[in-house]
Amino acid sequence: MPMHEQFRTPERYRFVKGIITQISESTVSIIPYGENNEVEGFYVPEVTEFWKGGLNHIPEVIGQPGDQGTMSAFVDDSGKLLVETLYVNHKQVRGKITAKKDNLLIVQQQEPTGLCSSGIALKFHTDAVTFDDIPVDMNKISVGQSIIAQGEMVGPNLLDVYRIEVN
Amino acid sequence: MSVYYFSASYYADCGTGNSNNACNSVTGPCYNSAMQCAWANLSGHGNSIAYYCGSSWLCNDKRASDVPLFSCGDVLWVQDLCNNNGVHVTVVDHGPNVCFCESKCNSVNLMRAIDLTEGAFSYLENGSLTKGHIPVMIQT
Repeated sequence: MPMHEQFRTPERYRFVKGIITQISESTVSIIPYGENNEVEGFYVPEVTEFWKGGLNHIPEVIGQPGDQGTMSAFVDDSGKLLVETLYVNHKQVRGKITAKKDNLLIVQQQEPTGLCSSGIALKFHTDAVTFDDIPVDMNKISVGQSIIAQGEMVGPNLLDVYRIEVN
Repeated sequence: MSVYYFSASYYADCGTGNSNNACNSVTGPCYNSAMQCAWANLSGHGNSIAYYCGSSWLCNDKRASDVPLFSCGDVLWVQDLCNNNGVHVTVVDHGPNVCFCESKCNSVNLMRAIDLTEGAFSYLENGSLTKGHIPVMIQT
């Protein structure tokens, strides 16, 4: 459920992506990438939802310290950060398919520095779909194509994909 | 005031080596958490859809060459046609480099011409990043 409209304004909105340092049944703390100061988000009953893989959000708290947290939140009048959603280990990958085997693709993506590129393996979630909500047909995917994949990082170089687009 | 209808996706590479930071000298770098976007037909940088798909590439009744020209620093009102959420975003990058003519939430087919930052897309989508693209109305 979206945050109450009283809080849900662009001025109050905060999008935070970084490493989870603490997570409990009521709050999550994240150190945003490129920053040193931890931010704490407070869950809101019947509003806050969590994601860790697949196409759906869940109401139960999920994630642990060390995971990547992507938080959509709003500041209330007292300065508290109210969490709308928390995505755990969510990642979007853009690159070129360099190899394909069964349910697995290897994609060459550019490093953030832009100076070099690195490979990442994509394996497909059981309910993986395209950007147009069509079940993924591996026969229509070829080496050399450009790909955008969204999924859960389940290892240093392994993405469990729930949605892809091939161009 | 001008009104346009396009398809929007998001990218997490804003400000990194995967984006071209086309507007860096004008707007400063792109920030993934800010209300910003990449636009396909950017003054001084060309029309990425016409370049990749051909200027006569057609989506519904629009050609690639019909994508309006915006400049670095322009502020666009972007409204999500799936839920009517809207937000102002600043053009800070060039792209997307794709040829997609697509529909969502019962919209007509729309050309994808805007890449929102993860932060802007998440705001429009009530905190969700699970959709691949959304239909949007853009006002300038």
